[in-house]
Amino acid sequence: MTLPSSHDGVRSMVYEAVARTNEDLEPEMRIEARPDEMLMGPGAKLDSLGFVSLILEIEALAHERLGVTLELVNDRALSQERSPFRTLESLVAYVEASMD
Amino acid sequence: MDDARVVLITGTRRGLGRGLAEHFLAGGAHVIGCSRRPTDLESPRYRHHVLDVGDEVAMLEMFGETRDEFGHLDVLINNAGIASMNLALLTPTETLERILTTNLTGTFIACREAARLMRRRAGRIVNVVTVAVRLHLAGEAAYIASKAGVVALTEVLARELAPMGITVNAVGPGPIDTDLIGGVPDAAMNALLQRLLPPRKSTVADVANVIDFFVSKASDSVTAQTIYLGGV
Repeated sequence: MTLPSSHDGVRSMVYEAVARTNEDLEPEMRIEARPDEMLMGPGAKLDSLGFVSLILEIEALAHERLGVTLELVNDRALSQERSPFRTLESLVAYVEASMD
Repeated sequence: MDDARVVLITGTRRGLGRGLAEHFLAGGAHVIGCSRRPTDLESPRYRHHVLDVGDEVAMLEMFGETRDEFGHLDVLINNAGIASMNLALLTPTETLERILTTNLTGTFIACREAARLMRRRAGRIVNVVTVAVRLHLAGEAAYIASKAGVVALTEVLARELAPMGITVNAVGPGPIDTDLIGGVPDAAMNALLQRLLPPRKSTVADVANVIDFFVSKASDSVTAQTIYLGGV
């Protein structure tokens, strides 16, 4: 088991969470594992339940792979002017920063 | 791991929680229990955690160990609760906060963490409340407010968790012979019992009967309900 010590490592973990999330979603709500995939706002395919599932899958993978307990949705994240949950790339950056 | 159900019950050292733990163990389930002090309940299928349900860190550890050992959770029963019989005008804020932390915050944390372990294969959550929510008993404002909060939590969570196949219900027993009612004067207890149908205390078997219905695999469309005992 390798640690996602790099940006690419974190991205691959988040993309795996995307794949896990998609397993439970209807085809029209599934998201693509690409940096500019919208997660919130106009153009986003995920509904609130799908978004929750993605966050929980990332937190579960972080625990399974790294033994790290992440709490991604918190007051600090929600109060940022530019939401870290806009796109997959911003989410990857936010997850990486949360592990520091 | 065998296919026995995995059941987590809070407040299992004595009283109703202990009785429910024994009930589910007798039915073949794996039971995870907790209380603020150690227990003498022993079974190869029983795990006990010494913690306060209002202590989030300790709760996360218990659910984390459950995830590590079983990978999932089938049933959560939020039974742990404390009471303080006192008129509101004489209830210190510290007492109110202690009751809310154990009865409401502890239940919220347990529901949230349980749902994370249930969401991939459905689950059942049952919250233990009280007939006092319906009877609006004087002298129990803090306790009843906390349990009324749990009823509201039950109804909202039922809607949030339904897409994951998780049901959330509550059972409201009458007084049960436990430490919780130890401070209630006989006259007040008799007056309360006269308002119940039949006019008697509830038993562990009464509560287990309702919980068995809620957690039955056939009850997947029974959610957001509170069943009170005693005809209130």
